Amino acid sequence: MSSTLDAFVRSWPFDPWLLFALGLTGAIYLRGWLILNRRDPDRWGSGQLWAFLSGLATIFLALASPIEPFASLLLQIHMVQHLLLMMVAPPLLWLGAPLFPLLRGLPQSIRTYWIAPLFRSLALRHLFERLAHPAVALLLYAGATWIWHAPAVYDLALRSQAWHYAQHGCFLFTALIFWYAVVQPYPSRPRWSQWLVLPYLVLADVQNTILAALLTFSEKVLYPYYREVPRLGNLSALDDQSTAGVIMWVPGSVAFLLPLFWIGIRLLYGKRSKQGIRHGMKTGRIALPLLEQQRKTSHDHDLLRVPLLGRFLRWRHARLAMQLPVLALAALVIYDGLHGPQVGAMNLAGILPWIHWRGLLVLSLLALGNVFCMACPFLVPRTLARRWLPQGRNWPSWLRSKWLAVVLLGVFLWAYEAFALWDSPWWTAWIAVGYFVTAFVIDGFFSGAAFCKYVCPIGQFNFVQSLVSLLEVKVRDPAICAVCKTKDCIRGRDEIPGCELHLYQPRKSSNMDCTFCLDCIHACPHDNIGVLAQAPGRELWRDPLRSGLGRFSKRPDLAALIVVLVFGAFANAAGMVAPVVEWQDQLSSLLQQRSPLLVTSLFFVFSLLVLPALLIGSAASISRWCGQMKSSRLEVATRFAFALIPLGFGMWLAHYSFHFLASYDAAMPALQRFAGELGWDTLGTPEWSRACCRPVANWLPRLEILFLDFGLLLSLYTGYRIAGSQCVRATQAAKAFAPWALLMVLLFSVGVWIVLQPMQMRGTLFPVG
Amino acid sequence: MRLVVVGVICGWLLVGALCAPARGDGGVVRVSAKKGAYLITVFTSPTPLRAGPVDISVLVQDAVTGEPLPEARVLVRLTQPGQPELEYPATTEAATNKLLQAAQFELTASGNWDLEVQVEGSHGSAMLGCALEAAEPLPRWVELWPWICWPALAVAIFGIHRLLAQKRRHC
Repeated sequence: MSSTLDAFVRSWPFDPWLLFALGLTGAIYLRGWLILNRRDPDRWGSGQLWAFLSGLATIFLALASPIEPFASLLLQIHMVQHLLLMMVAPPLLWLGAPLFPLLRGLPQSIRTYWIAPLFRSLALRHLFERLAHPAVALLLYAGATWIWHAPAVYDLALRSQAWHYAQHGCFLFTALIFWYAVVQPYPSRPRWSQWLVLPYLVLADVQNTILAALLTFSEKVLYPYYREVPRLGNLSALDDQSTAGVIMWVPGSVAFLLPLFWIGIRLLYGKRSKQGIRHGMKTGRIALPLLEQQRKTSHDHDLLRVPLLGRFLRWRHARLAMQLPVLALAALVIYDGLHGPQVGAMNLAGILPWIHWRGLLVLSLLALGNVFCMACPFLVPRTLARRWLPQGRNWPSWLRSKWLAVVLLGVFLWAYEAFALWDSPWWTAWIAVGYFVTAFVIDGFFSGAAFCKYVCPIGQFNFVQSLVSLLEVKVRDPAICAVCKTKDCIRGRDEIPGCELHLYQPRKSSNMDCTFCLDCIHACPHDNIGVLAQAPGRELWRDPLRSGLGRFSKRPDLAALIVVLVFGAFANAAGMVAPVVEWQDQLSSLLQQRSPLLVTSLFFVFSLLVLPALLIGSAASISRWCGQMKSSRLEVATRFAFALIPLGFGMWLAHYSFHFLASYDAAMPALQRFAGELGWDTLGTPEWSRACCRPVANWLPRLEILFLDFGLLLSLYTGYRIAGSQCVRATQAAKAFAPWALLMVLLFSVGVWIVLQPMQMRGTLFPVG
Repeated sequence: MRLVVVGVICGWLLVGALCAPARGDGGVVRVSAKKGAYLITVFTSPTPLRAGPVDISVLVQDAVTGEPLPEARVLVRLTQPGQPELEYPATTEAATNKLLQAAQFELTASGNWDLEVQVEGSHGSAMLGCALEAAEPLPRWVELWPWICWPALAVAIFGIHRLLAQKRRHC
């Protein structure tokens, strides 16, 4: 095998976006085709399936095979790529009659809510009908072919990746329009005579032949780019161009003439499509499968049904089994924090909690749910000593809200910055000790997991962010609960406690206040509670009466917690970026302060109190006035505050995952040092280079922005749904939503600005990333 | 099942986010010349060349037959007065097109850089040099604007969709 051929067969570009698009389209089609094939195997035969999948495979071959990298070296390869996109893939895709299978393959909610209005739109239908008219389609096809083959335009596409994408997109789009008139895929009905297709194909072939002849017989190289690139196999640029012309001419003509003969013979011998007669022309209008009901299943994903994992979670001591390793890590953090070197990057107490635990916490909240409360180590001493503790008192009624947690959370965020907790292993260790003692004392004296519900700032963080998580502990079949007499899920049975947070499963809705302790799952005698998949954020725009919580709209304390967490996300990240640190330094010198304490305190008072009060207050006032709402300003602010959660979570995700992913191996040298000091040398000597000097990867800012993007979109959608539920008319709802949308975009812009700034790499020996 | 599908989709989107910039080779021809027994061609990307991440790809061919020699060892060096010297081996592993050998650099400053390509293979060794001019890096938001702005497109599509749905309801 020659070295060129060897290199060719090994040159497979990896384009995840293209693979994703093709894979998703193929999966949707396959799903729809399987449903249709079961109903009517005569109409939906395997030929359509293979044609459609072959069309997708052809696109893959054109854009993600060795053809793509070699197209920039040889014009003939580039020509093959374009022929695949314009003459092979489109007719194959249409032969798959993709409309019905693609529609039927989509989830019902997407079909009815998103697709149906598009199909019902007269404007869109007229647009498509005009585009698909043979005269227009032919003009578009020929125009795209000729314009993109003009030397200046072709050269532009070769030198710019963006223009190259545009060229391929344009080719595929116009070719799909062109071949639609030829194939006339089911359920389209012919609006013009089939005889018209013959001159249509002849004209297309003529314009193709003229262009091919120009390329074949030209005596100069038309595209300067190909004159510059090195020649392979001593093939001159002119020979390469002639070969490209021949490829365009011969296989190109075959692509037009083959269907021409096929259609011509069919017309001459009077053979008409059985499908057209049976389903199309006789029946008149054909109903699209937009509103068809799908077979109703309760929930198609339950974590407890996952092999091994589900079995482990159903085990009564699963939680303790998860808590013990985390407890051991907490013990290491406390020991090293009190006795190890007082440099954050060298101490387990400076790295494990502030880089790894926080990063894993937010990522697990995103991917799963509140698993860190599930594995919380602070409750282990209380759990083990439960039988000796009094636990008889009720938590004071005046403290039964989130206000205490709001204050503690604000103080924690301020203290983190003011006392540089990330760089103080000693303080970190004492905070952990404080957590253990407080949890033990509060839960030792008071019943009902008061520490988790009313005090723990980490718990409140997890409760709020898990409102947009993928998993929720909830009832599998409400009908079983309706006839249940024992209510063990809340009362408990056989020494298995019921829900200590007073969340009664049949009326529990959302992850708020749920620690994922799984007690209700173990206590339910009907095995009717699972860890079920849910649409992220769905609970934010619903406002039912929730067990243990009431209605979200009547909980200003919850709204205050959310506001502190949302604005805290931005303040916490902003406190680490270079421009904000510089402003703080300038303000310190202006106020003649040696210590940054005053300026940091001012910064947090402004970020967590003044700014939210101004922005939320203004948005609520404008929203109430524009939407002509009867609720008070506080009620409006309370309800809409929930819409900010996804954006705030996006910022926490962006920030914490940045530190975790940029410094994931920073724990290793600290662990090596710790093990070495204990006389255990198997981990080797500390490699401090891992704790510093590694530049931030290019993909990280993209990932951070992606988190913010999804946060913004979910926040906007939640706000839109809340506004819709608060106002009678759509125009009022739009006006009520506008100020909140503006606030969300403002916060998003601040988030993007933060991501684009150099950030302090706290917990490492590398100052700025 | 639904969660698995959502997980796969999200996972793949993340892979897309992570892998998008990891494409390395090609670009425009910067210099092509016969040196010793080799014909050496150097491609650079992006176009125009800017400070920041750049890709330098090299095609080594037999000067007589034009046969590519991807097994030749290639070393790429970039120097600029006042800046640390950048030197990396170019490899076929780093290139998508396996005829080429590519190396990714982080140009620390704009201005003129001296490029030196050293080739060692069965036909002996050769060196090719040229000057590269790197423009100022684009502001980061310009580089990342598609990532920042795509939600606006999603909102616009949603807005049109809701308008159509409402229009239909009124009809």
